Amino acid sequence: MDLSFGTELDDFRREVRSFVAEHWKSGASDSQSREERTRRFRELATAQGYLYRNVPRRYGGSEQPPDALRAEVIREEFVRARAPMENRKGAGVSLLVPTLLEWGTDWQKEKFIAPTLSGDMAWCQGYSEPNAGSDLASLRTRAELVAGEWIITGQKIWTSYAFKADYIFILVRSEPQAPKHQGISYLLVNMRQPGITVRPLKQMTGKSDFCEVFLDGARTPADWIVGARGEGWKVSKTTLRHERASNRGLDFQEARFRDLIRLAKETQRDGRPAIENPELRQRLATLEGSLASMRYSAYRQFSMDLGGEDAGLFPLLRKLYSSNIASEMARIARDLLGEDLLIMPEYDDENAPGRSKWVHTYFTSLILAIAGGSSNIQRNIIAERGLGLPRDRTEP
Amino acid sequence: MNTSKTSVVDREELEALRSSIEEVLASECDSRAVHAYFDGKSKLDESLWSRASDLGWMGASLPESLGGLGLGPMGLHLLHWELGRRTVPGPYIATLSVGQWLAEIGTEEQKSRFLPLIASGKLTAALPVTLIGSDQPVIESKKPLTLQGSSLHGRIDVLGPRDAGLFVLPVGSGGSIEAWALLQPEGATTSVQHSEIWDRTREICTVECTGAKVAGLLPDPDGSVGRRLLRHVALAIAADSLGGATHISRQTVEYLKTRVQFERPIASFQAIKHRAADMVISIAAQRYVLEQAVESAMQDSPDADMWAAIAKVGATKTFAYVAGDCIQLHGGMGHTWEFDPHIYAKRARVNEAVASDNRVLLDFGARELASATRAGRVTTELGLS
Repeated sequence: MDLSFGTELDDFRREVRSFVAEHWKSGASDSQSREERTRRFRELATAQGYLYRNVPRRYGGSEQPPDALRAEVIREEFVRARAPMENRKGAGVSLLVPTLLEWGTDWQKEKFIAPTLSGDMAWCQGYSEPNAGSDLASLRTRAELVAGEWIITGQKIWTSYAFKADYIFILVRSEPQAPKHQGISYLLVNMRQPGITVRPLKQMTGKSDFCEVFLDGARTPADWIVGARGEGWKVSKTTLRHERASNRGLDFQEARFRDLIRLAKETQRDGRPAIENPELRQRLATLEGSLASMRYSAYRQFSMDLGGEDAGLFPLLRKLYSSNIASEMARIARDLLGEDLLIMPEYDDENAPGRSKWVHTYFTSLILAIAGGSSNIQRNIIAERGLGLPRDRTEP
Repeated sequence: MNTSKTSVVDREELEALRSSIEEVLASECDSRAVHAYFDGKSKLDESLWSRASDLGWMGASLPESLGGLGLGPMGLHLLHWELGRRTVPGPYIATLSVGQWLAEIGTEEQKSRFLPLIASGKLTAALPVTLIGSDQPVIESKKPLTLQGSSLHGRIDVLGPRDAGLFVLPVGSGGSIEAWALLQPEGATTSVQHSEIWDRTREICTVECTGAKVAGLLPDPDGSVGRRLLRHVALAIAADSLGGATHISRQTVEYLKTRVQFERPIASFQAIKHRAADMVISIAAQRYVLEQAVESAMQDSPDADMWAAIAKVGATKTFAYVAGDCIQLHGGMGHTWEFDPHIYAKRARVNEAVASDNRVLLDFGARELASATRAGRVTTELGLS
């Protein structure tokens, strides 16, 4: 496997690097807030063809031909300069936009995509319910078409960002007589209406990153449906595919690993830096190997996607492998923190300096095994779809 | 050496005590009560301590002549198991361990001064979070304090309430422990700073002494006095851990039977069944180790310290694993504040961290085993009952 990008990309890389240096690093001015600066930079970067490459120009994207190598170079240069990439607030850009591109009508794309990219429309995702977690298809939130409007009643749970979002894309049961997977529709709904109440869910860390969303006769226009009636499950699979396959997780974990090494160097154990401890070194080395293996497998999947080949089992493995890596990193951090882990950190922010951020990381890592589909479900998917093993019979 | 065991510990008496503790806690310290306490809405710790004192639990192990029930380490084992099961808030581990420790090696004067107060619940105690260190230099908040005449100087982290009436603190020079000081704090010479920890049912504080006058001193030239204190704390933590692990895993199994997804209780999935079984296996194995350790302590056998250390390591690892798994087995709800698993997980973390780091304890256990073997001693001889 040739891991270099080739000399024809060196020019491109230079171009990207100087663009970022000119417009982001040295572009700071006192009169602009960070938000304004970020928005302006994104507009310029999109006009240049660096951001929103998969989104047509008429919807606010830069409509570039698919080129995974160029995309990777852009990503590397932006990360290096800490320049903002695509807007990741809420679920709009990462989950809704790809879904609209694949399933939306023209007017829906016109109306929703550009404001979502710019951040003017903020979205949250309404999928899980108290009785529909791993078994999402058993969801019960009802939607009925009455006089040109959908009337929606039900409850969603684990909705991140619900307090800040203006809109929600939501799976509802619109065809109660149809079989389970064929009775679901994918609707777009304005959050700001009396029929919707948002209640925060308190996690074990004391923070509330998730919410419950109660819909009680909430309304949305009849044509704010993505895909046809009863097609919602199929439509939502696009979203789930995107939720599980991003490379961002890997960048984040590699950055965390570097932080973990630093933590090991700073922590004393038996009078010496913990990083000199043989047992710890083995665990760190194993972890580094796992991360490298993920990185190179991601490159390999890349190359295969480029060549139109089937990337095999790897895409199915990613999420599970990744949450296992996160757990191991958190366990090592836990061992290094020792008693510090007992202490509630002063900072509320996972990006805060010092050991306190590791405490939040540790507790958050417990969530990774569950969020986006539990590890048990991931294993089922690998076994059934990846290896062709027979499904469980459903008799209890 | 004066131990507090009676010559015959009555099994029926033990079971009667255990079942009465269980009943009281089931009604006065149920999940709702603990959550209310966790949310700062009640003084459950105070009301339970006073109940426990009235019922004589604090004196479970102490000699009858000093106001106790005379049940020795076995009595403490039962009590800590039930307290752990219900995640009872309060300074039980430190207070009861100090009580039993003094009963075994305190002077007559120290025993008559402190034990009746402990037995009646009128005195709470605190002791260091780290009881044995490795051979390497230790960090500031784990170093022994220095003694100048009868004045204590230094800073150390302790397990125990900020208003504890009796602090047991290590004293020495150059990082090694030479004696144990008994301190009844008063005035400006002792400051106690409470740390905000995730586990709200226990307290960890930093004690700072600037010329505090000690009320008593126990010399410890060979380290055996400190190891004995460690023994009791380790046994307490082990029992607390397994009691907690047993309860949360049972509760989780009940949940698994009621939670339906894919048109069937999730308990019917084999992966779930295996996970439940794995938890039970882990707890069961550690139970036997702990029973050996308690028996050893009852006999005051030469290997009691070793067994206590090993029991503590195994029990706390099991508790941390079980509590963590119970979080996951509850799905998304397991991560919420309102459900029980996080309270057990947070208690498990404290249990792991106190009475010394598990790695250090395993090193200690290994050294003890090596010296027992070299001396030709068999370490698993159970006492006659």
